[in-house]
Amino acid sequence: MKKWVEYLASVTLIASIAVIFSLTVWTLFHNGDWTGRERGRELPPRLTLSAQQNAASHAPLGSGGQTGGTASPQEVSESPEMPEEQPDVPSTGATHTQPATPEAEDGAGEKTEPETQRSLLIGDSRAVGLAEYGDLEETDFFADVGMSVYSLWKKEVTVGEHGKIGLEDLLSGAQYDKIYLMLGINELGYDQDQTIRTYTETVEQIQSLQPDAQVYLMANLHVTQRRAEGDRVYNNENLDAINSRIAQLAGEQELTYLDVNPLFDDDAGALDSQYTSDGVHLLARYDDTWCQWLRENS
Amino acid sequence: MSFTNLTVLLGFLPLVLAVYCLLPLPQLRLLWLLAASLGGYAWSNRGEPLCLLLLLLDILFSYYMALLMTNQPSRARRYYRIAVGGTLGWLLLFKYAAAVVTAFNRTLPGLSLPVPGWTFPVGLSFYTFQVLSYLTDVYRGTIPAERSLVRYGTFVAMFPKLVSGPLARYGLLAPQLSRCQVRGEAVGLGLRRFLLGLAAKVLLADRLAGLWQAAGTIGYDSISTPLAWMALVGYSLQLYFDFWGYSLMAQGLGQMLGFSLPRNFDCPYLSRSMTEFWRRWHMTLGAWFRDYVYIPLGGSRRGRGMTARNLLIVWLLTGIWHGTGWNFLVWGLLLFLLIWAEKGAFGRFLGGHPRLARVYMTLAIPLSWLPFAAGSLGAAAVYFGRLFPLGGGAAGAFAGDYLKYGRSYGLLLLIGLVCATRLPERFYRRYRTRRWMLPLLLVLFALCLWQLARSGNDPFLYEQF
Repeated sequence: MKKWVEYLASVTLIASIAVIFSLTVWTLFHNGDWTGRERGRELPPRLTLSAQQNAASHAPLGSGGQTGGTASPQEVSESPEMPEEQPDVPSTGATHTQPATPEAEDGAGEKTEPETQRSLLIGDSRAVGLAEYGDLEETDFFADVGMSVYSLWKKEVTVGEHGKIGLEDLLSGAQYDKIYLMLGINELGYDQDQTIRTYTETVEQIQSLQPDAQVYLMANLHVTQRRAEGDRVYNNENLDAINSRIAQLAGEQELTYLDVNPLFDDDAGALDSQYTSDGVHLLARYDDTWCQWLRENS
Repeated sequence: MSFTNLTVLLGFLPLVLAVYCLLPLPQLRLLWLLAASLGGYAWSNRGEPLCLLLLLLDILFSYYMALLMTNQPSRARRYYRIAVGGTLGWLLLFKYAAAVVTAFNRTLPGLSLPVPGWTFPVGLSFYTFQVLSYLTDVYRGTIPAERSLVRYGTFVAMFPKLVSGPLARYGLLAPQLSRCQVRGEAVGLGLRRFLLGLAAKVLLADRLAGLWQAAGTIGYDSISTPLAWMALVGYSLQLYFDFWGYSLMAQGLGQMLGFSLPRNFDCPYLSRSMTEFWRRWHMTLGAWFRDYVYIPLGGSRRGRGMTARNLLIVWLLTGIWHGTGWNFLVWGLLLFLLIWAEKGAFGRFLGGHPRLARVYMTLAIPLSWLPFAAGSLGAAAVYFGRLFPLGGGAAGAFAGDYLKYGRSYGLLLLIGLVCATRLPERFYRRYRTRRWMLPLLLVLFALCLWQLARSGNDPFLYEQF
């Protein structure tokens, strides 16, 4: 009898492990979050480009040859239709190219429909955290681990609906109202003057591609005291130095400088260790806080 | 000293080995080995002179106490106790003092004892156990006390096994130490073994490490269930290849020097029960606890109650030896519970149903590593909640995070799982003498060097945020 009971207990143990496992799998399917949709939030269809097409079709300048049947904004991606809608576009071959010609600019100024503001955040792995775990809406992210001002224009990153794209193509193709730039930590090992020069060039390049966008320069997040200890390169002194030069640049170019560090710093001016586990990146659950701060401050 | 440091790998090791092999006399070779081991240890811990000091102290102290025990057998017991007390005392002091004081300060408010801030001397846990095994063997009369300080010193401090090495018994190494034999065949075999260990550590373990690290960076509360499982499996594999790789390197180096060091791993992930697992994982530590704690306490010869007590003591000590947090104690307790359960009908059941046993182990192994890996009990609890999200919420904060990491680590995990079986060993044994085996090993070596160069020597290149 006793042996039978023990046998039963053993089987129950194995079975309960299997049950818990199946329950887990069932939970996954039941919640419907298996497919990769963002939790509870559906991204609204992009109206920006279609609105501009509309505007272009109403623009009095340089719009000869427009087909009239484009009044209704299309909900799907308009890129294949653009060459048709705007034959005055100087054909450069790239379907994504947004004309920076005066006509288009005036056209944009004469929008007749309310536009959805779309922002772009360019950054390094901390920005990747914001992209994956933050709750910024209407925002594209051009961010990757290891991003720096030296690699910015050479990298191709998957950006929302654009797929894998380089920054120049992205900025030429889409229209953003706010562009945030957070770079600096991956350049700490290089000469600071050289970095700032390249940074300045980057900002100017971004502005030339997106003259209407408001550019925000973001300070680099600090690292914890513990992480900085003994590190000659990645420490808060160097981060503060580059941040202050970025602030200076913002002042010179009349751009907004955003410094989120007071939000996450401890008393010593380093990243508070409660917000991070590796000393460099915020824990995912605080990315929402950062996003909230961004919304409030810009 | 780490064997995966390029300076050590391409500088220290070739130099030491070359001189060792060229020296004509065994006594000279022994001296050179001792000097190189102590020198290497001192240099790699040059910021902490305490490390070398403590090592030398341990060696001298145990050497003299062993001789005293032998020369004055009537007082042997007292000397033994003093010797063990002193040696163990140093270990307890350096390892646990800070943790214990912090715990006291926390539980008894108002008490603010100064927390000792000394750094833990590298390798202390290992060489302390080495010394204790020697003292005990001498006390029991199993081996005579070593008269040559150089030979004893080399036994304790030899660089292949000083820092994390297999725990060797003095009785087995002593004759090899007197001969310090250098044979071309052994050097060749040892080099190959070293290479394989290096590949396991650098190409598998170090690269898999990123997965568990990513889970930690994100925060255990924000990862999805599939990612949680993936990361835990990744950790299990990483830990295995790291330690196994290191042990192979130690064995290989020992072989090149003419010593046969004991094996530490025997494909533990193929085990069919936790009892079997711990006889195949870190085998020298298990043997140490068995011979010097379990059996002296009575082992399993004094009835079920005593067996349970002895097992509990052994596993709690094993837990606490690995680390100084409550989570390590819980980890030891968990292993005790599993092993105790397996001593009864559950064990017989597993023996009779090998396939179910595999299922059981597939879950038990990663889960048993959880308290070990998580760093704290709270973190382990959070992680467990992500592994078994009863009540929904299996998705993480970032939907599709497992896809992202699956793409990066999927292939590596697969390779890791394959390499945890006997397949690589069988493959190597079968094709060992083929013409292309050596080029293949060299390719592996080149890959290791490349990976080390990428990660170690160019902080700008690899440290990417």
